[in-house]
Amino acid sequence: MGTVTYREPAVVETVNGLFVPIQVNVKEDSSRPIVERYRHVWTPDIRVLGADGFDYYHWNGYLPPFEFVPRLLVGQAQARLRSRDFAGAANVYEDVLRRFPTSEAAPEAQYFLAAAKYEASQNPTELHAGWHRLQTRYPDSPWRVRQSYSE
Amino acid sequence: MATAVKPTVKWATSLDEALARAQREGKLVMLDFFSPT
Repeated sequence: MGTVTYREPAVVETVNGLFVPIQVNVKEDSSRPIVERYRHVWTPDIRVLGADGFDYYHWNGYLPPFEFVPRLLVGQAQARLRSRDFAGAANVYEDVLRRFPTSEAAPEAQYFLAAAKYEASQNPTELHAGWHRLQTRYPDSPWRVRQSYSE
Repeated sequence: MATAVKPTVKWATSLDEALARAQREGKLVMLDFFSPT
């Protein structure tokens, strides 16, 4: 991550602009309290935390820059969604779909964009329209399976 | 001739500092557990 992803200007801009970043070396004894607090087991392990330390979103594994940015934005959107800021979450999911439509995070963004819009409006049409887009744009995605009862 | 300075990620030095800054600046924290290779 340090040799490729964190050197890409788009990654630096996103991380510094939207987050307070911190790295924890899991090999150091001094890291043990944080490793135990978050029950970390395998690197790379990226967490999106609230200011209270709550773990809103996480993933394991290396991502190249063009996948890292949309994945991190989906984490930001998930934090907004789970904080019941549905309009704010929808804005971020739409940004991911507009800028990174072919990223591995895009189908998840489409799935939760539909959910965020539905929660904001309580209009089932929003949900079904969003999931229809998921079916047509990302037909082979695991996220399509999660709404397949509606097909 | 001036040399262009590449932007770098500005890492916080402790989780407490990161959480306090996040509270102050209205941001989230990105926590990266890593193992040096």
